[in-house]
Amino acid sequence: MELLVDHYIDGLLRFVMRIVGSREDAEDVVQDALIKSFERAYQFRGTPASFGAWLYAIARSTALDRRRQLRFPFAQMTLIDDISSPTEPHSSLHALLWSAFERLSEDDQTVLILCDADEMSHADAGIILERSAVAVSSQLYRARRRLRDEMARVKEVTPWIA
Amino acid sequence: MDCMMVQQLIGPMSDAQLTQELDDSITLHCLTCPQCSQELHTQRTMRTLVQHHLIDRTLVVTDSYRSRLMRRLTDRFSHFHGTTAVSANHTQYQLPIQLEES
Repeated sequence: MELLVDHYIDGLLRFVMRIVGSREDAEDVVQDALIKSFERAYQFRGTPASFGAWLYAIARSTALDRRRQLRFPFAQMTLIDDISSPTEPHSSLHALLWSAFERLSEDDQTVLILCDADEMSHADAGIILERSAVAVSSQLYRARRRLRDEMARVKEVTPWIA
Repeated sequence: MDCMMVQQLIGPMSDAQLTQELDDSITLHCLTCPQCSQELHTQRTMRTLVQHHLIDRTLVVTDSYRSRLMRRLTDRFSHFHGTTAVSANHTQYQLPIQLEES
Protein backbone atom coordinates (compact mmCIF):
# COMPACT_ATOMS: atom_id res chain seq x y z
CA MET A 1 0.00 0.00 0.00
CA GLU A 2 2.83 2.37 0.87
CA LEU A 3 4.52 1.69 -2.46
CA LEU A 4 1.30 2.39 -4.30
CA VAL A 5 0.79 5.67 -2.48
CA ASP A 6 4.39 6.78 -3.05
CA HIS A 7 4.18 5.91 -6.72
CA TYR A 8 1.16 8.10 -7.45
CA ILE A 9 0.87 10.72 -4.74
CA ASP A 10 2.90 13.61 -6.21
CA GLY A 11 1.29 13.33 -9.63
CA LEU A 12 -2.17 13.07 -8.08
CA LEU A 13 -1.57 16.17 -5.97
CA ARG A 14 -0.49 18.22 -9.01
CA PHE A 15 -3.42 16.94 -11.06
CA VAL A 16 -6.01 17.64 -8.37
CA MET A 17 -4.55 21.02 -7.46
CA ARG A 18 -5.20 22.28 -10.97
CA ILE A 19 -8.84 21.35 -10.54
CA VAL A 20 -9.54 22.62 -7.04
CA GLY A 21 -7.02 25.47 -6.96
CA SER A 22 -5.62 25.30 -3.43
CA ARG A 23 -3.11 22.95 -1.88
CA GLU A 24 -5.22 22.45 1.23
CA ASP A 25 -8.24 21.31 -0.78
CA ALA A 26 -6.03 19.23 -3.07
CA GLU A 27 -4.55 17.35 -0.12
CA ASP A 28 -8.03 16.58 1.21
CA VAL A 29 -9.15 15.41 -2.21
CA VAL A 30 -6.10 13.18 -2.70
CA GLN A 31 -6.74 11.57 0.67
CA ASP A 32 -10.42 10.99 -0.12
CA ALA A 33 -9.56 9.62 -3.56
CA LEU A 34 -7.02 7.16 -2.16
CA ILE A 35 -9.48 5.96 0.46
CA LYS A 36 -12.15 5.47 -2.21
CA SER A 37 -9.72 3.62 -4.47
CA PHE A 38 -8.68 1.20 -1.71
CA GLU A 39 -12.31 0.66 -0.78
CA ARG A 40 -13.11 -0.14 -4.40
CA ALA A 41 -9.86 -1.87 -5.35
CA TYR A 42 -11.52 -5.27 -5.52
CA GLN A 43 -13.88 -3.87 -8.18
CA PHE A 44 -10.97 -2.95 -10.47
CA ARG A 45 -11.09 -5.06 -13.64
CA GLY A 46 -8.48 -3.36 -15.83
CA THR A 47 -4.90 -4.26 -16.59
CA PRO A 48 -2.11 -3.27 -14.20
CA ALA A 49 -1.10 -0.57 -16.70
CA SER A 50 -4.52 1.05 -16.49
CA PHE A 51 -4.61 1.16 -12.69
CA GLY A 52 -3.09 4.65 -12.64
CA ALA A 53 -5.74 5.95 -15.03
CA TRP A 54 -8.45 4.37 -12.86
CA LEU A 55 -7.01 6.07 -9.79
CA TYR A 56 -6.85 9.41 -11.61
CA ALA A 57 -10.48 8.96 -12.68
CA ILE A 58 -11.53 8.60 -9.04
CA ALA A 59 -9.41 11.61 -8.09
CA ARG A 60 -10.89 13.67 -10.90
CA SER A 61 -14.43 12.87 -9.90
CA THR A 62 -13.68 13.65 -6.23
CA ALA A 63 -11.96 16.91 -7.20
CA LEU A 64 -14.84 18.03 -9.39
CA ASP A 65 -17.26 17.40 -6.53
CA ARG A 66 -15.06 19.52 -4.28
CA ARG A 67 -14.79 22.29 -6.87
CA ARG A 68 -18.56 22.47 -7.16
CA GLN A 69 -18.72 23.04 -3.41
CA LEU A 70 -16.29 25.97 -3.63
CA ARG A 71 -17.82 29.31 -4.47
CA PHE A 72 -14.56 31.03 -5.34
CA PRO A 73 -11.85 28.55 -6.29
CA PHE A 74 -8.43 29.79 -5.25
CA ALA A 75 -7.04 29.52 -8.77
CA GLN A 76 -9.54 32.06 -10.08
CA MET A 77 -8.81 34.51 -7.28
CA THR A 78 -5.10 34.26 -7.99
CA LEU A 79 -5.79 34.81 -11.64
CA ILE A 80 -7.73 38.03 -11.03
CA ASP A 81 -4.80 39.30 -8.96
CA ASP A 82 -2.41 38.44 -11.77
CA ILE A 83 -4.43 40.23 -14.42
CA SER A 84 -4.79 43.37 -12.38
CA SER A 85 -1.04 43.55 -11.75
CA PRO A 86 0.52 44.85 -14.95
CA THR A 87 3.70 45.63 -13.02
CA GLU A 88 4.85 42.02 -13.38
CA PRO A 89 5.70 41.60 -17.06
CA HIS A 90 7.59 38.33 -16.50
CA SER A 91 4.36 36.57 -15.56
CA SER A 92 2.21 38.07 -18.31
CA LEU A 93 2.25 35.03 -20.62
CA HIS A 94 1.52 32.80 -17.65
CA ALA A 95 -1.40 35.02 -16.61
CA LEU A 96 -2.72 35.17 -20.17
CA LEU A 97 -2.59 31.40 -20.51
CA TRP A 98 -4.30 30.80 -17.16
CA SER A 99 -6.97 33.36 -17.94
CA ALA A 100 -7.72 31.69 -21.27
CA PHE A 101 -7.53 28.23 -19.72
CA GLU A 102 -10.10 29.13 -17.06
CA ARG A 103 -12.54 30.06 -19.81
CA LEU A 104 -12.42 26.60 -21.38
CA SER A 105 -14.94 23.89 -20.61
CA GLU A 106 -14.19 21.38 -17.87
CA ASP A 107 -13.60 18.66 -20.50
CA ASP A 108 -11.19 20.82 -22.48
CA GLN A 109 -9.28 21.73 -19.34
CA THR A 110 -8.99 18.11 -18.28
CA VAL A 111 -7.83 16.80 -21.65
CA LEU A 112 -5.15 19.51 -21.82
CA ILE A 113 -3.97 18.77 -18.30
CA LEU A 114 -3.85 15.01 -18.81
CA CYS A 115 -2.36 14.84 -22.30
CA ASP A 116 -0.23 17.98 -22.57
CA ALA A 117 0.72 18.88 -19.00
CA ASP A 118 0.96 15.35 -17.57
CA GLU A 119 1.90 13.77 -20.92
CA MET A 120 -0.49 10.88 -20.40
CA SER A 121 -1.23 8.62 -23.37
CA HIS A 122 -4.52 9.21 -25.16
CA ALA A 123 -5.58 5.69 -24.22
CA ASP A 124 -5.09 6.34 -20.48
CA ALA A 125 -6.74 9.75 -20.75
CA GLY A 126 -9.62 7.95 -22.45
CA ILE A 127 -10.10 5.73 -19.39
CA ILE A 128 -10.32 8.79 -17.15
CA LEU A 129 -12.64 10.67 -19.49
CA GLU A 130 -14.64 7.54 -20.40
CA ARG A 131 -14.10 7.80 -24.14
CA SER A 132 -11.95 6.23 -26.84
CA ALA A 133 -8.35 7.21 -27.52
CA VAL A 134 -9.42 8.52 -30.93
CA ALA A 135 -12.08 10.71 -29.32
CA VAL A 136 -9.45 12.03 -26.91
CA SER A 137 -7.18 12.94 -29.85
CA SER A 138 -9.99 14.89 -31.50
CA GLN A 139 -10.94 16.64 -28.32
CA LEU A 140 -7.33 17.56 -27.60
CA TYR A 141 -6.98 19.02 -31.08
CA ARG A 142 -10.07 21.16 -30.61
CA ALA A 143 -9.13 22.13 -27.05
CA ARG A 144 -5.78 23.52 -28.22
CA ARG A 145 -7.52 25.57 -30.91
CA ARG A 146 -10.02 26.92 -28.39
CA LEU A 147 -7.19 27.75 -26.01
CA ARG A 148 -5.46 29.73 -28.76
CA ASP A 149 -8.71 31.56 -29.57
CA GLU A 150 -9.34 32.36 -25.91
CA MET A 151 -5.78 33.63 -25.48
CA ALA A 152 -6.28 35.95 -28.44
CA ARG A 153 -9.59 37.13 -26.98
CA VAL A 154 -8.17 37.74 -23.50
CA LYS A 155 -5.22 39.63 -24.99
CA GLU A 156 -7.64 41.85 -26.87
CA VAL A 157 -9.61 42.86 -23.76
CA THR A 158 -6.59 43.04 -21.43
CA PRO A 159 -3.91 44.62 -23.63
CA TRP A 160 -1.43 45.03 -20.78
CA ILE A 161 -0.99 41.26 -20.72
CA ALA A 162 1.76 39.87 -22.99
CA MET B 1 -2.65 14.18 -49.12
CA ASP B 2 -5.26 16.97 -49.01
CA CYS B 3 -5.89 19.66 -46.37
CA MET B 4 -8.84 17.85 -44.80
CA MET B 5 -6.81 14.72 -44.14
CA VAL B 6 -3.83 16.73 -42.94
CA GLN B 7 -5.96 18.68 -40.46
CA GLN B 8 -7.27 15.41 -39.04
CA LEU B 9 -3.74 14.14 -38.53
CA ILE B 10 -2.07 17.30 -37.26
CA GLY B 11 -3.18 16.67 -33.67
CA PRO B 12 -1.79 13.12 -33.49
CA MET B 13 1.32 14.33 -35.32
CA SER B 14 2.08 16.96 -32.70
CA ASP B 15 1.70 14.22 -30.08
CA ALA B 16 4.22 12.03 -31.97
CA GLN B 17 1.62 9.34 -32.57
CA LEU B 18 2.04 8.89 -36.31
CA THR B 19 4.41 6.77 -38.34
CA GLN B 20 7.47 8.46 -39.82
CA GLU B 21 5.95 8.06 -43.27
CA LEU B 22 2.77 9.95 -42.33
CA ASP B 23 4.82 12.55 -40.49
CA ASP B 24 6.87 13.17 -43.63
CA SER B 25 3.78 13.43 -45.82
CA ILE B 26 2.25 16.06 -43.55
CA THR B 27 5.52 17.99 -43.33
CA LEU B 28 5.74 18.03 -47.13
CA HIS B 29 2.16 19.22 -47.39
CA CYS B 30 2.73 21.99 -44.82
CA LEU B 31 5.70 23.30 -46.77
CA THR B 32 3.38 24.47 -49.50
CA CYS B 33 0.17 25.07 -47.50
CA PRO B 34 0.21 28.11 -45.20
CA GLN B 35 -3.13 27.20 -43.61
CA CYS B 36 -2.09 23.70 -42.52
CA SER B 37 1.34 24.96 -41.57
CA GLN B 38 -0.29 27.53 -39.29
CA GLU B 39 -2.50 24.84 -37.74
CA LEU B 40 0.49 22.60 -37.04
CA HIS B 41 2.27 25.55 -35.46
CA THR B 42 -0.77 26.28 -33.26
CA GLN B 43 -1.01 22.69 -32.02
CA ARG B 44 2.69 22.53 -31.17
CA THR B 45 2.74 25.96 -29.54
CA MET B 46 -0.30 25.29 -27.36
CA ARG B 47 1.12 21.94 -26.29
CA THR B 48 4.41 23.56 -25.29
CA LEU B 49 2.68 26.41 -23.46
CA VAL B 50 0.53 24.01 -21.46
CA GLN B 51 3.56 21.84 -20.64
CA HIS B 52 5.57 24.81 -19.40
CA HIS B 53 2.95 26.88 -17.64
CA LEU B 54 0.19 24.60 -16.39
CA ILE B 55 2.33 22.19 -14.48
CA ASP B 56 4.52 22.76 -11.46
CA ARG B 57 6.83 19.75 -11.26
CA THR B 58 8.36 21.11 -8.09
CA LEU B 59 5.05 20.62 -6.32
CA VAL B 60 5.40 17.49 -4.19
CA VAL B 61 3.74 16.31 -1.01
CA THR B 62 5.36 17.26 2.29
CA ASP B 63 6.70 14.61 4.65
CA SER B 64 4.18 15.60 7.32
CA TYR B 65 1.25 15.27 4.91
CA ARG B 66 2.53 11.91 3.69
CA SER B 67 2.88 10.65 7.27
CA ARG B 68 -0.62 11.79 8.21
CA LEU B 69 -2.04 10.21 5.07
CA MET B 70 -0.26 6.90 5.59
CA ARG B 71 -1.43 6.78 9.21
CA ARG B 72 -4.99 7.40 8.10
CA LEU B 73 -4.83 4.77 5.37
CA THR B 74 -3.14 2.22 7.60
CA ASP B 75 -5.74 2.71 10.35
CA ARG B 76 -8.55 2.37 7.89
CA PHE B 77 -7.15 -0.49 5.84
CA SER B 78 -5.28 -2.48 8.41
CA HIS B 79 -6.24 -5.63 6.49
CA PHE B 80 -3.94 -4.67 3.62
CA HIS B 81 -0.68 -6.58 3.58
CA GLY B 82 1.71 -5.74 0.77
CA THR B 83 -0.33 -6.04 -2.39
CA THR B 84 -2.90 -8.41 -0.91
CA ALA B 85 -6.13 -7.13 0.57
CA VAL B 86 -9.45 -8.37 1.86
CA SER B 87 -12.69 -6.88 0.57
CA ALA B 88 -15.74 -6.02 2.67
CA ASN B 89 -17.18 -9.47 1.98
CA HIS B 90 -13.95 -11.09 3.23
CA THR B 91 -12.75 -12.14 -0.22
CA GLN B 92 -8.99 -12.03 -0.51
CA TYR B 93 -7.71 -10.29 -3.63
CA GLN B 94 -4.50 -8.88 -5.06
CA LEU B 95 -4.03 -5.16 -5.51
CA PRO B 96 -3.93 -4.60 -9.26
CA ILE B 97 -0.35 -3.42 -9.59
CA GLN B 98 2.99 -4.71 -8.43
CA LEU B 99 5.67 -2.14 -7.68
CA GLU B 100 9.30 -2.87 -7.00
CA GLU B 101 10.81 -1.54 -3.81
CA SER B 102 13.35 1.11 -4.89
